[in-house]
Amino acid sequence: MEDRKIRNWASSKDKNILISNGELLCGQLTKGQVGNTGGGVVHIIWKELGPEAVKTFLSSCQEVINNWLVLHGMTVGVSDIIARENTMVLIRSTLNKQLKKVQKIITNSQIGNLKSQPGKSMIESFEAQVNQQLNDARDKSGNIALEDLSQTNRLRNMVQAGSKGNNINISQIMACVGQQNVEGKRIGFGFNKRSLPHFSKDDFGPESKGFVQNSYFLGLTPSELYFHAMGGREGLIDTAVKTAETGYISRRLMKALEDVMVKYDGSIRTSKDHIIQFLYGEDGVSGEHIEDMSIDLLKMDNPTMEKRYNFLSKDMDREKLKHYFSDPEIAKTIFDDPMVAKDLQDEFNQIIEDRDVLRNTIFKTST
Amino acid sequence: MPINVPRLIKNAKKMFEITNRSKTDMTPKIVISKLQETLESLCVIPGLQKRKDSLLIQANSDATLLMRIYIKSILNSKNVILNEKLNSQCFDWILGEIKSKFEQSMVSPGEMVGSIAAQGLGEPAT
Repeated sequence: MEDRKIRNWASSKDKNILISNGELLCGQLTKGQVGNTGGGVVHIIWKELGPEAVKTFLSSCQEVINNWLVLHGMTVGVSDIIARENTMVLIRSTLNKQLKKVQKIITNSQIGNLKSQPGKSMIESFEAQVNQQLNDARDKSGNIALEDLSQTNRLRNMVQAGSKGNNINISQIMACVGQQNVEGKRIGFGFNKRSLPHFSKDDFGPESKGFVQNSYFLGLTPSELYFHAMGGREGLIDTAVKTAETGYISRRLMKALEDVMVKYDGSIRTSKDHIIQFLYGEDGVSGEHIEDMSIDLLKMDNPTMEKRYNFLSKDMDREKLKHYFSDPEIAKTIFDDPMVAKDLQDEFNQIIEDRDVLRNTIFKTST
Repeated sequence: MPINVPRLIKNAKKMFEITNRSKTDMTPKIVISKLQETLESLCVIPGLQKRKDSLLIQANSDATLLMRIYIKSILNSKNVILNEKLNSQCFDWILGEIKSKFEQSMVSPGEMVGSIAAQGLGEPAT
């Protein structure tokens, strides 16, 4: 029914998915295939076999999962987030390496060696550089933690299947929580020249500006916890404000567009018969039928095209050709009959022309 | 795009039991002319056949341009005969399927596309 990337057959991580005749032959099915995404299994079943088949598919899947869950419970616990000792050492040393880089930037700026980046003030470019290094610290240590997890790790499986969580959550739990932000900046100096009374004045180092080196598993220091609470509160406020705002935006959008519909002549009009579009999406195709596809032709060079599309190309084997036809006489005409040759040449020229249209008109990128 | 031609070919080959050793009864000329006929019949404007309006014909060919190029790039005579080894029965079925699938994928009149657009714009913000 479906096969993707058969070229790389042996995948050590079982990443290739092959479904043949309704049977999953290899690969892990995840949210990307079986979820509500376009081009996934559900979408293709709907297109090929209709809504009734989708209903059967979803019900059967649920039944299998329910019964599987009766035999194998699925849970996540502390045992899933404990990294090996040498991994922890590695994470620590990566963090220290990055922190040293940050310290270097700070000392550089204190002795006046900092160069400001174009379009940014001195302070802005300092912050940009520090942020870059601290983000690197979180990403690098996080990747080390991710590599530590085995194939059977339940947290990792949950993330990979797409049920809940993502890689950042894992690295925050196991490696390093990372920089806390308020109003898009590192934690500001709310007291006199410092963020908290724990620190000395004018300290621009990672610790005083809200970088949490610890993971959730190791636990946060008192000042880290305070910064985390500051960032967390802002996030909470944001969601509260955002829901109200987006709700109102949606309402206005809906009110503005509620009367737009497809008329019998295929045009898109409002209730006052004002034309919005002559043809829906300029091709008239309704959205649920669209599949993402790649067109090989767009990126094909002339030798490949010659090989793929031209009957008359020089490397064609005339003798072999007759095996393809039930009537071997046809093969002869391809090279001997000038009329046939002309038709084939015309076809090939047309495809080359199509490729140029693709490149210069349809998928034109710049002017 | 609304039609996945490689999958269509795969299904057709299974249906008509075409293997790598099958031989075709088609000439390249037949493939080209049949395909041409199908592509020309693709129509996105209701009642185009009745009204021979040059603007409408132009609009129709512009709307189907990408679809036609895509189909042509796969169902060209060399690929159909040498790689896929389709016979005329199978090829006719594929062309018929392309036509009917294309017609099915058109928006139906009465579709409230404004509401769909509003929801589509509003959803990512939530």
